[in-house]
Amino acid sequence: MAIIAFNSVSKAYQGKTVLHDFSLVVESGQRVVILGPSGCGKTTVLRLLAGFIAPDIGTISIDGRVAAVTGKILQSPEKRHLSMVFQDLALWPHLTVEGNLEFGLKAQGLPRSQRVQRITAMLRMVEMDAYRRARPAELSGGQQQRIALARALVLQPKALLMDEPLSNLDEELSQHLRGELLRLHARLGFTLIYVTHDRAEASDIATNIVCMRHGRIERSVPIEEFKIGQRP
Amino acid sequence: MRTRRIILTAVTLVLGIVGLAPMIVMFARSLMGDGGFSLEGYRKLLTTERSWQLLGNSLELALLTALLSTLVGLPLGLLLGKTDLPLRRVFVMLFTLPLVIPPYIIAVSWANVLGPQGLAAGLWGEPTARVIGGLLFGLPGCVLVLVSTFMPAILLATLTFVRTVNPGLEEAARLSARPLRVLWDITMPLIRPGVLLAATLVFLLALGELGVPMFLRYNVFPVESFAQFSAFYNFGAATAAAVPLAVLTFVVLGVEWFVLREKSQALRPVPAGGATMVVQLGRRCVCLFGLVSVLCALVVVAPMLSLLVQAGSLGAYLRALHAVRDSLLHSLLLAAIGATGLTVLGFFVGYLIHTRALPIWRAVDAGTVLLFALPSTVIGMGLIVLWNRPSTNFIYATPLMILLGYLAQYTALTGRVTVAGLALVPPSMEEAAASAGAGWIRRLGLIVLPLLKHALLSGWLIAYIFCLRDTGISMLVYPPGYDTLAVRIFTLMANGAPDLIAAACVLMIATTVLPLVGVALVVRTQGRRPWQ
Repeated sequence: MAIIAFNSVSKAYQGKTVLHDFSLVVESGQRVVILGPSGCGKTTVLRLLAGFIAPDIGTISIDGRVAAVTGKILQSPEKRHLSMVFQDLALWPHLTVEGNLEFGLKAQGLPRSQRVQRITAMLRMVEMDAYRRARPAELSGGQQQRIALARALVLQPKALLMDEPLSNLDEELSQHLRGELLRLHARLGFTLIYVTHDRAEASDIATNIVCMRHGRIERSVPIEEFKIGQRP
Repeated sequence: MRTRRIILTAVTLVLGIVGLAPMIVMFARSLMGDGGFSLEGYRKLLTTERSWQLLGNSLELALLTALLSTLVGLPLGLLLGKTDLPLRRVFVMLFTLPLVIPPYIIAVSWANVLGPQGLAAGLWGEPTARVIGGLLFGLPGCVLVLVSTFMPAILLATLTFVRTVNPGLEEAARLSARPLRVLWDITMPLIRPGVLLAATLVFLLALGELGVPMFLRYNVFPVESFAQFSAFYNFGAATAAAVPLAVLTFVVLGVEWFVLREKSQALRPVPAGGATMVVQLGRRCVCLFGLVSVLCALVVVAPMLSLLVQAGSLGAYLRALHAVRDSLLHSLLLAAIGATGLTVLGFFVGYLIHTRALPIWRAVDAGTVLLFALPSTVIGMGLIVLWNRPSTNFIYATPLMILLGYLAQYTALTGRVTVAGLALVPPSMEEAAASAGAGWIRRLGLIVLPLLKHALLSGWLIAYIFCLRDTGISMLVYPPGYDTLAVRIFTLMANGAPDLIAAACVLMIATTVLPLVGVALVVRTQGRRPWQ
């Protein structure tokens, strides 16, 4: 079942088109990686999907409902039930780890007992239960990464959007966290849309790969096909 | 490196002589009595009921002003900085206006509206006007005037700090919460340290305010200190009355430093063209627009209009111009020289703070902030104590005293503007020049200064406005025959005709607002970083 659909979407900033006629369908549970060099428009795809910006042309649908259409946002970000892990993680520095996870659950109106239960389960899942009272600044880069992931997943979103979340880490830690992401995906089965410029990272994570260049889709293929194309 | 160290050390010394030395000498002088060491001034200060009443009045006025300014300025700043309310820029400019003119002029304009012979008396009759006038000449009136004067400081701080919040933090929250909740739970806690800092500054500015309580006849420490000096020429009592204000300022800044330092987390320089979250007001827009318009009309437009109405004819302006012509020229000249000196001193102080080139940079930073926050009467008294001696009469008996006062009190402003400007210049710019073999002076002249020219020009204009609006220092230290416009109007208020005073106030506002238009133009171009 299609959970996300871009239909002929275009977007321009200050007269410069960064996304041309972009169409994409993401099925539930898929791990779609959008791969491309800097400035190719991949982050714009995520921001359009999250509802931070409106498409100039085209339609974006989420779970069968039109969320944005030419120049208009029909569903505001908080009503789309999507979560995002940002490139700089955007952990709220004035809140504890628990506060970071609790913010969205509170906004959803969940009672305290359920909030505590969900937070505890999620922190255990990312092996960060011991740090629930810590502030983001007290955590290492890898720990912050896990908390950002936990904060996104604790909301049980329709899809998880990730904007080059591992780009600032060393290769060893990056590989380790990729493994953790796949483990969590296997357990929770969420839909993932992951943006990166790193081919190895893309190959590790994706079930489907969308290659972008100059704001256009060059090709969109299952990972097996992508890997065949990669062989010398 | 050696040249840099020598020049920055010299600048630190200048700052010490201009700002710190007067404070030390004044404190020492307050411990002197007839012919030797004496605590008589302090004994009198601590044992008389009047002193405690003055302290109570000063604190009450400062606290109420800071509290009410924050209660109005913070929501207003959020409304003007984070929503799609129409005419936001116009409102910001209008609300900022009272901050750039001497506060006592706002008091005069309010007296024109609410005073016994004011517009209110004409509208509601004399008995009602007498009651309102009774409130105006006292604590409520002082609070009203000082809130309308200093509230823009909170407004501007809020506007500045909401623009420095990393947009990603708000976007992350927007995925699960409505904009108002994001504003309350994410944005507000992040800007709280900045707003508290501004509130502390408002508290200190209100604590040291001289003109407004003097005009509205509310006894506070600065008025007492000024009266002891100018009316009774009792120097011991005057300095002893100034020292508690200095101590209080020092304590409040110390507490603020310990509580708020390192708390400006997740704040960053304003991005070039970066998008921050904007709350769509929707149906509430009309209602909020109406509320802001009414507030603006009451707090800014009505008092200003009352001055224009009171001044009435062109004849009043001509008479006012004739009466204050010399003082106006003195003010313009002193403000221009003072702003230039402040820009030079502020540049080196800002450079020292930004690069931390000397271990003493933190003390210099704290020192300039302390001097800015000190009541102007304290600075004025300190300057008099230091320079009023035969050997330094060539300074004391000249307008140099006013300039020294400007340098002492306002270096923090130009220093801060320089620091903000330098923060936007990548360190690699100067490093590249160094690796190309340029010495420090050459690097400053050919690389740093050209890149900072917009920031320096902004700093100059801000300093110019503050020098022009200064009342406290000028009133204490101006030499005979060389008063400034702010001082001249203040003295005119004792026996001048109301239309003449109102016209002089309008002239004062005009001379201040014209450079402000310049500031606005420079700030608009500041968005572009010079090297791009």
